Amino acid sequence: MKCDICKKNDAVIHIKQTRGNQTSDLNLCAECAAERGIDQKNPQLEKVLDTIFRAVGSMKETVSSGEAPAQTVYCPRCGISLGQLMKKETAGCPQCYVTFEKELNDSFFHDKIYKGRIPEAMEICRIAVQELPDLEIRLKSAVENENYAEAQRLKTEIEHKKEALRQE
Amino acid sequence: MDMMHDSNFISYSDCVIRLRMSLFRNCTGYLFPSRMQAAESRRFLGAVTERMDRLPEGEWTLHRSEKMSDDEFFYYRDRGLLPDDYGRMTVPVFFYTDKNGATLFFLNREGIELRIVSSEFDPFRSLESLSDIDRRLEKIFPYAVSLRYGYLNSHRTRTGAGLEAEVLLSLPALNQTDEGSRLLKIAAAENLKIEPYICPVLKEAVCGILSVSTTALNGETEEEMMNRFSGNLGTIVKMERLKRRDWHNGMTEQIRARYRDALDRINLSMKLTLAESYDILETVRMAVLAGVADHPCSTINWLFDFLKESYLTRFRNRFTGSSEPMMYDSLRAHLLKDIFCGKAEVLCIKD
Ligand SMILES: [Zn+2]
Ligand SMILES: [Zn+2]
Repeated sequence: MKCDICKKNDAVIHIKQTRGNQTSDLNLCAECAAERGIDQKNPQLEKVLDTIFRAVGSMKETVSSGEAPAQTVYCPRCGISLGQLMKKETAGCPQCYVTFEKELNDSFFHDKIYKGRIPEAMEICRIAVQELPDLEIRLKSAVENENYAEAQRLKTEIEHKKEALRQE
Repeated sequence: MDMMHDSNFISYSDCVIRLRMSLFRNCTGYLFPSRMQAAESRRFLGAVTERMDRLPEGEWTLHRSEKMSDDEFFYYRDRGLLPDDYGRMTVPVFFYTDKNGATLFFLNREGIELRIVSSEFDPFRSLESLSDIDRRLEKIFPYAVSLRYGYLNSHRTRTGAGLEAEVLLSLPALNQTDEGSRLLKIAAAENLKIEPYICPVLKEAVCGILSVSTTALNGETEEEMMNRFSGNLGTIVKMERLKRRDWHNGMTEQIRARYRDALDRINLSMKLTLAESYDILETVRMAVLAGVADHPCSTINWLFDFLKESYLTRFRNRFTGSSEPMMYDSLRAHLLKDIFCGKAEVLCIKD
């Protein structure tokens, strides 16, 4: 039996999902399984499996009916379907990251926020939208925990960030 | 500037042949290349060309591929500054910057790719050069970026920092032992891809040369990725150097004999193909590493590219002073004779 994702290798892992009175099968090769974090120790295992079932399901439907079923979601900008995106792990346009936000997060990004370099013009948005709210939350909890040294440090940092915003 | 990283340059020239690094970007308002139709590609290339014209002249010299000779184009490609499949005609726009030795090209794996190739393994310096150019480009191109994911690219491994690094490594000692499985274990744990290097000219694997590459992990910053990459490279180089110590137990004589054979071959050959030359180079490298020959490793690394036809063509006038048709095989034989068996003025040529 071939792997449901790559359709190339022989499947070595067989998973059955039961939902109400519906069951579906998933057959994966070792490579595809490892790539998608299918591992007993992965705390997100259930979530990961659920996403793959849905993605593979929509692929199967597209193939079998020839015509796209009504519930298949397409990116409004580039027209790629979730199934196609998951199969090649390749998005079609920047809009895909909005359209398939939940699925991409569940399968690949796992709530990780990118902290690296971005264009200079966007740094200011990052301070306003991400860094300041984050610092405020940490400040609040430091005050609640009566950790005054930390609170003072955070206050200074917040002031610096606000100063940077004003200068813009 | 935030990239003012102290360059912790460690020489790995006994192992690293060259380092290539790429930044990937896409633009808002355009699909990713794999989904682009012909009309949109044209629109994209038109916009790119028009915007590049706005880039201030100065330390930055632009060469466009359609105005380049074939020789020049293949020279950049053989150096690794362009992807092997990069069509000369299909994607006509291509720019080369003198100062940083970088290329900027379009509609390959992502909309925009900025690439730099260096003979030294100094990833932080390469990254600094790339970022420096990128900071100028971001002023003329509307990059697709999200605060959450970073730079938005088609493949998830390039989304985020949008950075890729690759080194070509020669590991003669590890190659002779069955350390392959240990290397693969490191690779799997550290998100590295290790594979035999396929020479685009020969279209086959070159004996003993590996390509080790990586992209940023989910959420990883450029600096974190560079630290991981150079840390792992350090581990691999250490493993190789440790294995080389075993050569003293009986191997040295064998290596010396092979080196003598290689010298004989250089001396007697009127012609050498690229594959034969590579074979000789790796023998010389082993001899140098085993301490039975005395040539700089940097020369051997440099010859790796220099023996290719595109390089020989580019520098032909410096050897022959004429523009007669090139006899590549005999030129290679000459060159190796000059370098390893005597007169070495050729060494001063820098690319
Ligand atoms: Zn598979
Ligand atoms: Zn899309």
